[in-house]
Amino acid sequence: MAGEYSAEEKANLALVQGLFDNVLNAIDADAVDSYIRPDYIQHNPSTLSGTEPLKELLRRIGRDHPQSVHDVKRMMVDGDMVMVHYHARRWPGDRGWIAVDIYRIENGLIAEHWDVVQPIGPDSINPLTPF
Amino acid sequence: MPHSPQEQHNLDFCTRMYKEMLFTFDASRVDEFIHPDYIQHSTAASEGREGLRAFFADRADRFPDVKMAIKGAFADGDYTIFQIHTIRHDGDPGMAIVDIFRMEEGRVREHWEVLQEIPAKLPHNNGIY
Repeated sequence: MAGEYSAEEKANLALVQGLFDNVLNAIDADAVDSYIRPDYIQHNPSTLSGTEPLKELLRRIGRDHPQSVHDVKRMMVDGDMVMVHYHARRWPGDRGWIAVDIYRIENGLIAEHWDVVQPIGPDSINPLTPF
Repeated sequence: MPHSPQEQHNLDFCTRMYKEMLFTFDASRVDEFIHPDYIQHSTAASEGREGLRAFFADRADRFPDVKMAIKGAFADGDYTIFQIHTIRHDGDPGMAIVDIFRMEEGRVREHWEVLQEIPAKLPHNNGIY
C-alpha cells in the first residue's frame, strides 16, 4: 500500500491477488496449482501441509456455500512476504470472520502460509468495524 | 527484504512500542506512541486513546503474569504488520495475534487486529509461527 515497490514485490502482490480472484473467490480447486507449490508449508492450526487439503476445502465450499467470498480489505507486501486482511463470509448477510493471511513466495509460487482467523460476534465493545 | 528508511523507522518504533507499552500494559505511555486521533478497529478495545488506556487497566488486572513475544515483523510504507504470541498464564498454548498499524505524523494513527486461540495440539510439526 506504499507505491514504492520492487519488481519482485509487484509480482508477489499480483500473484496473491490472483490467488484471491481466481482460486478463493472463484472457488476453483483446479486453479490452485498455478499459485501454490504442491508441498507448501502450512502453519494453519487445523490443516496439513500441501495443496490437497485446500483443494478439498474449495470443493466442499463450492458444494455447501457457493456464495462464499473472501472480501479483501487491504494487501501489503514486504519482499517475499505478502499480507492480506480480509472479511470472509459464507453467504450474503453472514457476519463471517476477520482474517489475515501471510504468504511467503518462492520462485513465483506460494511456498508457506500463516493465518489468524477470528469469528465476528453479534456485538463488540468497539463501535467501529474490524476493518 | 530492503526497507526504506521510513519503513525501518516504523518497524523500530512499533517494536519499541510493544516492549515499552503493549507488553507491559503501561497506560502512562499511550500519548507517546499513539496519535491523538487514534482509530481503533480491535474488537477487544473501545475507541481512541482512552479506550486503549482502559484496555491496559483491565488486562493488567486480569493477566498479571502475561508473556508476549514478537514472532514476525513486516513493513509496507506507512503500514507495519506484526505476528504476536500472547501467553496469559503458565500452560496456556496462547493466542496468535496479527496487528496491523498505520503510522501518521510519527505515531500510530490506526490499528487493526485479529485474534485466535492456539489449540493445545497441532496436526503438523510446522508450528504456528
